Amino acid sequence: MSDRETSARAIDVRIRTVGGHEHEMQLAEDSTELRELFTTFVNRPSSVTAARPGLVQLPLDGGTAACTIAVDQIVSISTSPPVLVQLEQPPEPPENVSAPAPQTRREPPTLHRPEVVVIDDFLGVDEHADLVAYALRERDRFEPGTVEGRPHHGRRNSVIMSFTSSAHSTLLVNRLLIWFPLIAQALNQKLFPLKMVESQLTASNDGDFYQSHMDTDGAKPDDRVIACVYYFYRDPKGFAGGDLRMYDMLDSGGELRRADTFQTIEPANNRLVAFTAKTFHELRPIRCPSKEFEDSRFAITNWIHRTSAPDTASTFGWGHFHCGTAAPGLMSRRTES
Amino acid sequence: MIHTVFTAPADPGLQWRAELLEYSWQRVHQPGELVRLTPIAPGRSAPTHSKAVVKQTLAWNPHPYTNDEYTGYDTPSALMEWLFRDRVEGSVLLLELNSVLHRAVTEEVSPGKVLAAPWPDMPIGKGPLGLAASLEFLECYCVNRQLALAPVQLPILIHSSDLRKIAPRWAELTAIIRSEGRDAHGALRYADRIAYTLAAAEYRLLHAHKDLRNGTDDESASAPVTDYSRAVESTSGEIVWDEQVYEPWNAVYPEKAKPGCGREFLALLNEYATRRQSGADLAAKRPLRRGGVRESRLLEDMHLEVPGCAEFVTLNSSAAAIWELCDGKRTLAQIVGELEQLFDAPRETLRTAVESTAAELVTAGALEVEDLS
Repeated sequence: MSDRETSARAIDVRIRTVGGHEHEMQLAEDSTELRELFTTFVNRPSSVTAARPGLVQLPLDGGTAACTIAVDQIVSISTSPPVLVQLEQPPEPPENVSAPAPQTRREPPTLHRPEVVVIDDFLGVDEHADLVAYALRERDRFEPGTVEGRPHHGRRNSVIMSFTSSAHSTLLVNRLLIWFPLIAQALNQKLFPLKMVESQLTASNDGDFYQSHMDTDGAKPDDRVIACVYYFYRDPKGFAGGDLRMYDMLDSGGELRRADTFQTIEPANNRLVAFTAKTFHELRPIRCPSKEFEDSRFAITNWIHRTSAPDTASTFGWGHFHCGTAAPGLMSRRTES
Repeated sequence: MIHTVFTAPADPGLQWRAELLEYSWQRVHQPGELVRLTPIAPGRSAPTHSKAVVKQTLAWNPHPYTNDEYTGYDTPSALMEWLFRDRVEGSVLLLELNSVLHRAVTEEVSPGKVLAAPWPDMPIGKGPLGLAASLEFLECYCVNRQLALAPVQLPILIHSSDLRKIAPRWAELTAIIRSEGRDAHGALRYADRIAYTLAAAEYRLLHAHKDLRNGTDDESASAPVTDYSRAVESTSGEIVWDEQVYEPWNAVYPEKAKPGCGREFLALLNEYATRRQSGADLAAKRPLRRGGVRESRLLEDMHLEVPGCAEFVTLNSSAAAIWELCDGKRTLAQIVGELEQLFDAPRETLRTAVESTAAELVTAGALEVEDLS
């Protein structure tokens, strides 16, 4: 039993629905389910913009069963003892993303759906199994995730920050470089010379999440351009949730902000998902009934950095590839501009 | 659905091979579609075919990250791109460019099972993965060093979902083997074959040997595909035809070859060359202008306005002359004949111009070509 579980109070929750029906259950005070229940309940009016209907799923009998309730059928939620629920706040806009358009603006904003690349069966059978074994073996090296080096209320998961230097990172990066021109094209990115590929290994267990954020503000010339997240976990799958939510953007005359609409990508085993690092994305809360580390959802995030000073001598992956300049043979009509 | 696929860069010197393969595909009534994957550098115009679908892909030869020149990079990288973009589903009959079909392949395969021609010369040995010691370096790049590799080569019949999985690893391993593997001739010429068999093993694909490929020296055409990369010999062992020195579309002499696959191949080549020379293939194609296309002239150029297209199609004087002859009555062969009267140019040059212009106008939506055969 984890420290987290022993320290949280048990809350008796009574949900009254239309028609006078009542559902009772017990949830931990800091549980994802309780937070999601209140968040969804409060945000009912805007749920029409969501890709999924307004449903909330709650565990019964210690997680061995589940109850799914349509949120618009909920009349009230009673808790004993009373709890103060800190609802999820919309993310602070980064520096280069302006505040919402002023009310006086006449032009309605246009909605942009970001491109996302999904590649299944990314690694071979043994490579995938080896990565799972590596992650389980290295469990003591995982540390609480941070944002810009500091703990942050918007992120809860575990991470190996120094993963970039490992052989397993190299294995993944070398394969990724083969995909890089196609991924760049699919994301409507002009091919660019690489500075580096940065890797991070994360483990997400029960209740973990990472609220909506961007991986870069795009201000620095040698910054992250493309994010590629590789998902893997032990079979049989020991968790639920943990979807990747990719938010649409609203463009008000060149001023960008996050929309409320999104697309959802399942973190399927041995799947790579690539998107531009300036896309708002979110790791949805994970439910892992066993709370065992071995049942975590693991992910390796690779950020492909551009360089402003091309270097033909720099090597990548296993050392055979010189990606410090953009090869002209790969420049198609779409990538040239 | 069987997708018959081959890779041929946009090199005019390779066009005859692609056309011959296309003719043989049509001749045996091979079911499904024929796809030519064409790695092409920016700014180059893509080749055209009457039956084959041409898919342009990024050029990986020379390798963009290593600068190594090797034709073996073309196939896995082009396949990877095609399968990624087009989301193809079905069986893929993957052929070498130097091959023709003698018989239709109608068998389809399910995921996980691959039919392939045997590769008797695979460099096996006591090194890791059962390979020759010169390939020992591979164990640094393979998680499982106990895999049993299937000694196979193209042609292969494989499900698209399997090919989609292995193509990136095939491309990656080819580059690694070319970077590190050496023999007496330098970098390994068969790097792509080793890379294929290793990538397939890593993804647990099971291969069954299938009699898919004849060589020109085989006595009987038991397989549906003939590979003509080896010279055709006479009964006395003299070389009567060699693809390295063949000038398309010169006449060849099948009767000089010893009986067997080589002779049958030369007969096929002759048949197509004769048909081509007579214009019989073009005589069965009649171009028709699409309704609503409007034309205008500015100096030497003609501009076509195609309904539904935002941009004009610009024709130079040669293309404009061809366009004007596309009146719905003349066949492509007749257009070539008329151009011969107007221009002092070899028939082959005019033929190529008519074919490529017609294909480009079809792509632009200005023309359709009626098949009269």
